[in-house]
Amino acid sequence: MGLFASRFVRFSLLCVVLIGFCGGVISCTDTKSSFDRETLFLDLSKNVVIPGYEAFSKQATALEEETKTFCQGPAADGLKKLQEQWLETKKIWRQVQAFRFGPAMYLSAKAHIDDWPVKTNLIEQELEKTTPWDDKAIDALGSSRRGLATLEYLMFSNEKSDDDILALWDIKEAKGKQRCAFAIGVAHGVVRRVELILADWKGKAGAAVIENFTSPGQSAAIGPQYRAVDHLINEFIYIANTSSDVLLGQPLGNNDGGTPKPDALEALRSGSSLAHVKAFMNGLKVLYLGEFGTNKGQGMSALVAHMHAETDTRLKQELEAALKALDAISVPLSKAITEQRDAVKAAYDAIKLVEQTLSIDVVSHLGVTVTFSDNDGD
Amino acid sequence: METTPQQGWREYLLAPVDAASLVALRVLFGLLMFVGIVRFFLYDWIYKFYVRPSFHFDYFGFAWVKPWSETGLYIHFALLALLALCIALGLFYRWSVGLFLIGFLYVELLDKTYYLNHYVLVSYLCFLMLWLPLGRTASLDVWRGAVAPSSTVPRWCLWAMRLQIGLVYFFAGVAKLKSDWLLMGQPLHIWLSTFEYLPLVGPWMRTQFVALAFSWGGAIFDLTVVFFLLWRPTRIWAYLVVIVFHTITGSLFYIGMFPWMMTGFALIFFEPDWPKRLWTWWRSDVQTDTPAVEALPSVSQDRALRRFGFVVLGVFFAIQLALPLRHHLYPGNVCWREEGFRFAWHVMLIEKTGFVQFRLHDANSGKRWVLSPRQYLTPLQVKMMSTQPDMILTFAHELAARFRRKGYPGIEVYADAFASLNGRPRQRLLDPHVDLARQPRGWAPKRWIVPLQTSASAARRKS
Repeated sequence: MGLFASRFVRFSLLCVVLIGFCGGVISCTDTKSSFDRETLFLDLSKNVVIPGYEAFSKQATALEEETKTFCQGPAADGLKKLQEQWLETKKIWRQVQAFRFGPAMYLSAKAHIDDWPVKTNLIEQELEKTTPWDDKAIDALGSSRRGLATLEYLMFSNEKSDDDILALWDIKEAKGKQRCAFAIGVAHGVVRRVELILADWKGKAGAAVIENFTSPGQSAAIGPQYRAVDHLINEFIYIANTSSDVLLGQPLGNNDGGTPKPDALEALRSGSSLAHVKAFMNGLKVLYLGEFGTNKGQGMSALVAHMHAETDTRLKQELEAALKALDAISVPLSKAITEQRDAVKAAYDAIKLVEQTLSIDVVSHLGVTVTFSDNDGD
Repeated sequence: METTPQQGWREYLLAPVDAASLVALRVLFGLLMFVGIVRFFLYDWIYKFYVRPSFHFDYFGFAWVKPWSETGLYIHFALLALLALCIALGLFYRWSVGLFLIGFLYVELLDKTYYLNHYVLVSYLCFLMLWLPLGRTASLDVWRGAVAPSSTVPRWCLWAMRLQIGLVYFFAGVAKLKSDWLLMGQPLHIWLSTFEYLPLVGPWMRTQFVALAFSWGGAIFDLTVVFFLLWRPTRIWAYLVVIVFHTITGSLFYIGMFPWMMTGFALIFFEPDWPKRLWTWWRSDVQTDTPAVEALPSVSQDRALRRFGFVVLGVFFAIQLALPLRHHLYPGNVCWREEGFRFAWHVMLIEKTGFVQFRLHDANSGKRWVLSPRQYLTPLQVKMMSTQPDMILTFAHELAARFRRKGYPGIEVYADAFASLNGRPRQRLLDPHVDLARQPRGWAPKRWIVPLQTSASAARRKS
């Protein structure tokens, strides 16, 4: 038995060595070039995320300045300029809001910059106060009483005329003065927050940049390069799902037996809901392609193409189709949900296709975990 | 007087053997369960899995198992942790094992979203331990004089435990004898590819060869390791392979406690006195002779009771032999249809991704709804449901019930469900024209599951 066992062990070892040798030889010829994920995330940071936040910071600063200028002597043309500046700021924010990772998460970007819907009764209560609206007071507010959505409530109305809105800003009245102080404080709060986020991004280099693409809630048991891909793909799914089900589906009445629900529109007061859906989907696109303005580098597309070129091509086509379908809606979304229902439904379906491809094909080929939980497997 | 083969077997199975290895397994089991329950607290899983969700996916026939209140659930898990320690210490042994089994089963039955194969193993082990006299040595029960001490157990106890662990490996191996696993190297090819960024080994991880080597290696390991562990000349080598295998799988994949459990439980294949030998080897100053085993006072001398125990265990193992094979009663690919998939040691066999949304229609009012499950379920629930037809049906029934309560008695529920199995192109999982509200739950084959359209060989050619 001993002799047999000894031979058996030797034979087993020989088999292992042979298999290892064959594997080595085959692998030398079969090895596909590996993908440099570090470069991907450094590119995304340099070409997309930082320029995105810089663009938003610029617009947010302009909004604060415009609010200050307007409050020096509120007038109809000033209000119009202010509203236009808000629209520009919100549009770029919706795009940048797609960067929901790292500093945006742990510095609570959403809560400080734009959380909706706002609680109008609570904002009105704040406007009654006579306390100064310094940084401390703004930071102490709940997320439904600050940020861009609150500024929209102060600057726009879908019920009142612009003259009526203007009357509320009358700085000769104490209430008007207080409104101005509050709006300037809120606008400054947005600027302060984006500067914090930007400083975080700019202050990091190398591997720390990759960590910025992860979420604080993810398990640290796996490497940051894996976690970053995992989180980013989950974010893409979130963006597509929110754009279709929340920003389009709910106003369409998908949850209400098909009865249109204009109240469910994100920016009903400013009538800019459609632009925000487009901007949010554009946020997904810039991260996927790695292109922002004139900046070009690697995006997630490069990794998906590396793993499965067919899926990458398909997703790019579907993204373009979704954006085109949104462009085909020619009236504000508040009207389109009743007057151009087919066009809105077509956009909804097109975005759903993007969500499907992300949730099934991309997730499958990248081996991503679609969950925010780190439950064990098998 | 000559003994009959039956008597020979009986004598063999009832002969006393050292209880040390089984007791070590008891201690290990208790400690691992304690750590496992503590992880639920540390990772906030009690809240995330059982408190936060407003809906739970019950097992067919177990809809009556409902979660306690939030406080009740935390107390429940704390008690489970306490019972696990009691098992390890051998305190109130049978009560501890019995109550732990009930408490653990309760948690598992709450929501099939969190089904894991190793939780099934825990339940089986717990049930088995209930019948084994493992509290009679190295236990607080002996120390406090509650039970008569005995350093031996009948040999059948040892073999029952070996059979239990052996079945897991063997059926996990049988389950791997599928074309996806053996011909495509899937899903390992997908999973290993994600590690291509690792230094040195990274470039190899995307190769088909490595995926196939891992797949074949895994299948051969599962199918044969028990036999090599049972055979003394190969045992130590086989156990080293067990350690390497579970270390690799534990490092690469999210499988929590499973590698630890199997690495520990595989020790049951060693000689029954291995803990004592280890101890004497460790304490070289202690006498190294293995102590003689004592006579057996630990098993019931009541023949009727003993026979009843054997019948129960016989049925228990017969069920375990049948469950992994029951999927052959269903048509199609078990990994796609998932009928007979659970409780069958289908371990790490599928990379399945899916997407589902529901269309509801009320013919009376003409109203239509398009509902995303994300607004009702947690992300993990959505993920698990999206690929499992029985869970989609359960949720369709839940939606129907909610809408009936809202005043739509004739509500129809349809699902647009798509999925991809092991890297195949996505396809419809369910027939979109079937009103799921009118499909019964149960074990009958689900005719509304769309058959898998791409075979493994076609998928391989495509990839």
